[in-house]
Amino acid sequence: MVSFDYIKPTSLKSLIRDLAQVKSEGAILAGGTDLIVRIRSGLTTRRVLFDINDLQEMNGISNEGDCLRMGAAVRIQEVADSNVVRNSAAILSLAATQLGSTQIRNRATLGGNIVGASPAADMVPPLMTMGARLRLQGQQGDREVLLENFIKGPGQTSIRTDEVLTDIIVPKLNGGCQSHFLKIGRRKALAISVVNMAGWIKADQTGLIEDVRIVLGAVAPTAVRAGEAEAFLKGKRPNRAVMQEAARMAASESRPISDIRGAEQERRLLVEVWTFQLLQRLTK
Amino acid sequence: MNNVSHHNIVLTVNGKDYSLEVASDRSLLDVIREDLHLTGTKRGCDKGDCGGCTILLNGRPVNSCLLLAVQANGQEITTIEGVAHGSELNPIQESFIKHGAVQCGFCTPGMILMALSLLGENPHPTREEIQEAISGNLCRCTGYVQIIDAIESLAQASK
Repeated sequence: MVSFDYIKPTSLKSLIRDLAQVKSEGAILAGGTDLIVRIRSGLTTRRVLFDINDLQEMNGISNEGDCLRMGAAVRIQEVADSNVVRNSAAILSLAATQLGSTQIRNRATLGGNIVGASPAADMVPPLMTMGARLRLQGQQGDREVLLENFIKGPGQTSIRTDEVLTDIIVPKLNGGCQSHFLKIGRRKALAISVVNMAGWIKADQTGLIEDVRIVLGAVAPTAVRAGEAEAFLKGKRPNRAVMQEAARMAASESRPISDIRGAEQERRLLVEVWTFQLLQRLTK
Repeated sequence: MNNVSHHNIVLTVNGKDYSLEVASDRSLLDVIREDLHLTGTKRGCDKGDCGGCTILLNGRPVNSCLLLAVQANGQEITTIEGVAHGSELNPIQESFIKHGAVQCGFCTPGMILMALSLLGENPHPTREEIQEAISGNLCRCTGYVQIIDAIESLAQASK
């Protein structure tokens, strides 16, 4: 039976104190677009929800020189609408505009997408591609972790029961990098990604690839870097054969499952096809 | 074991204030339909997948099934009942009727609120922008064409 209490903490300090008391019986209520669904379906049971939506410490997008700082409670629609994000982290904008639906984006939060740790989370590959860091605050103090190291498995992160994600810090890409994000789903909206991916390439004036990142989502227990494909591409000229080989490598590096949204084979093929498309886009 | 607490809240719905006592675990959709008896807002899926429960929260479209009633305390809500002016239909509603965009009518309240929201921000949307704007609302009857036509005719009319 669905039954939970609701508390709206008036400060981050009181939230952390309360979380430390209730531990795993409590949950953070941000957008609720995943949590409420999970609770109603019985997938998740919690005694009390803590509404963080108006906590000042978790809101706002700010330009901090060489990085962007975004509060964990920032709405996906805010990310999509932000000029600061569009100018310094275009792949975050791209992902944000394709997440869910307008109605979902008006409530869903950046923090929720990260801590929810769905293997198909749309904001995670672009954030990982950019080397995003997370600030977590808890009873034992603050800590900062790389997003890449934070997500451990489907729905699992290294967050402690007394901790809350408060900020996402995103180092800006160097000028001269081309970046892109793409999402493949069974529909153009209201779709959970079957495959998603983000990447950037830094090429020299002759077009030689100096550095590259490719992060694949929805095709492994967590978003994964296509490390072998990246290593293969570095130092090469991105002709068709090179990109095709990199795409093949990315496909074999992925570990998709078969589920209601697609079979393992299909997903691997999608990784190959769309990594190629991504690379073409990054080397235009 | 019952974890529920009760909260006194005030919801401003279609310009009118309602003082209510609600349980912590009730959705805004439930309270709108069952406590306020405003049944124009529909329960389609109860999980944010269909848009049938769309309302405007402080002017922005959201799925009311995913909001707790307590979260809407002190906020402004527009439901489909707030779109017409008494017996005078909104031009969007007139256009829907004119273009045959209403069949069973279940998706209609959500569609109209999305159209209202879109045209408020973008008075001259392209057909593609209209499609994107309603992409969070499912319709099982019309195939969407008449709905898009209805909204598009308003986009052009105001030029």
